[in-house]
Amino acid sequence: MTAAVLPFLRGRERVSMLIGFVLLGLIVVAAVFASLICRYSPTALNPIAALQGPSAAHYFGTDQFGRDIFARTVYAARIDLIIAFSLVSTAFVIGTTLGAVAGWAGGLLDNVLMRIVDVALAFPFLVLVISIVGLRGPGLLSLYLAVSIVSWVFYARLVRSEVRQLWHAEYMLAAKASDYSTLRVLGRHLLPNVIIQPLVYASSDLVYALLLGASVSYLGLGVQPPTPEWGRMVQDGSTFIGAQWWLSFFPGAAIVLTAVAFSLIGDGLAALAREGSAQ
Amino acid sequence: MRRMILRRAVQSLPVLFGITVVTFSMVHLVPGDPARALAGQRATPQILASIRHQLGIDKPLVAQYWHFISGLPSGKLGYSFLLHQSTDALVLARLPTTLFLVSYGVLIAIVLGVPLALVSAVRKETLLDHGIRSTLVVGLGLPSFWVGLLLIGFVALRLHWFPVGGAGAGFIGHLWHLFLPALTLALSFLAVLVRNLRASVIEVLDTDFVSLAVLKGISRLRVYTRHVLRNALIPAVTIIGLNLSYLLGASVVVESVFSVDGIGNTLVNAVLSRDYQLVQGLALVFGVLVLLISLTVDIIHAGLSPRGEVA
Repeated sequence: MTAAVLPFLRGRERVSMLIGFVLLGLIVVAAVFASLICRYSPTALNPIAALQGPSAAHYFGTDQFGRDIFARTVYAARIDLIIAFSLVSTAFVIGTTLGAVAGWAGGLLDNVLMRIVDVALAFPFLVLVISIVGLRGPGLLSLYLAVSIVSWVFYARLVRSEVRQLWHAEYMLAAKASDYSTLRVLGRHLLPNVIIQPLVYASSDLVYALLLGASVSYLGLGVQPPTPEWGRMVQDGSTFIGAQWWLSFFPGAAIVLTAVAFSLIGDGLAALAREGSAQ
Repeated sequence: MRRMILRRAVQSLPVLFGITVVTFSMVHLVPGDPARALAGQRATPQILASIRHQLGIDKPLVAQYWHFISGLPSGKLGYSFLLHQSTDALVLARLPTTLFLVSYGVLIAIVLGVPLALVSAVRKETLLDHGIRSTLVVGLGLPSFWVGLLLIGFVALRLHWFPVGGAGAGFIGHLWHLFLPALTLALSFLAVLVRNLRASVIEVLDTDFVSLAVLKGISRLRVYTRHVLRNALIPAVTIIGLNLSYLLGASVVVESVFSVDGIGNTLVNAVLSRDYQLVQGLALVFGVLVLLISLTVDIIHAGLSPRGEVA
């Protein structure tokens, strides 16, 4: 993907997108090979070494149970990356499909779907997610369901308006006037043109999904202990923030680093889409 | 103008209806019996029945919905069984704190963001601009709960510059106690604000009247402050209006981090203690709040724009 995309970008965007891919690559490699990188298990207790500051033995220090913060931070990348990617891909698939159908079919279906979108957008996103998670009971599945119930609307609205706009484009009129089957018109002519905007949106949405998953877990409603997760780790360290700052600092910094990687890639993709539509 | 306001108000009625339906159905998402969840496993059938009756969930669904919305116009939002208080009393007492926090945060974001956007736009594609924009990429990914916690740890606990939590009393007390929470909120929004504002300032800089002002020999500083800044503030208002819903959501986390007694922190506590009716009532308040805000923003916009049109 990197090699395919980069030649089309110039200067600043090219550099920042490259940095983004390298950064994300490093994080993914660290997450996958966590057991090779870390000297300690993320859940191994060691009361004698509790609350030690960062050192050569424990790069990021230890928590109140003597668990190695570095190991926990690296292992947590797994769950946080999975949350971000699964939240975005679910929203992308459901939203793009429903938006395309609404834009294509029009009429009553379109009307009903867009009213649902209006209502979902009437709530602060986080409020709706927290409420649904809270009512279903905390946990990863609740978080996933709650976000999926709401987040597709952003994609649906985007794709619907794209379909509506393309509807009257000349090449679409030509495709419709020809003898091509509906499936071919949709798949070959409409889809490749409407998919770019939601893809660009999805790449920046990864940042939001990452922060959302961590925020909900921070509040104690998402990933449950003993599974290491960045947001939850920040929460667990919050009582020690005055003196043992490393408990909360490093997992939070890992979130920022991952978010920056997503942002840089997303900005690059957005620039690419702009150049594509300008030509 | 009056017709436009009326039309916009009528348009939001279906959404208002939708908000009540969503919040009403929320309680029915609870797996199992809400009465049992409230009373515990050892409750007798009589107690369960009486709780069901108190919650009103022993009636048919339509009757329940009617009961739910018929109380709303007079402000009946339900009852918190854990705080032993009606939701409307809680909202009345705690909503002002939340609104104060969000306005304060917006103010700080403007104070920090407008100069940054101006400098970044005027010095477009220089090292300074690149520096500001690279910092903003980091700003975009800052989790507000982490920023808030670090501010508590370093600025409040170590340096003792500001209080650790709470909302304080009176206007000055609010300004003092809510500074760190408002700063956290502002930082979570700053990157979005500066990015969008920079783009609109660049647009203003390219317009003829700015070139004319420069040609007339008006000093650069005067052109930037009098002509560019004034025209860039309108898009700033738009950006803030579009993001108020996001800011209200972010304030929930910020209030929780700093234990500020606003409706956001109340929501989190209600969720954690499974106070379903309170969750329902507060979600409704948040929804109506966003609806009212977007209505107000549209009306202000129509008032500002010369032709009074709706965006």
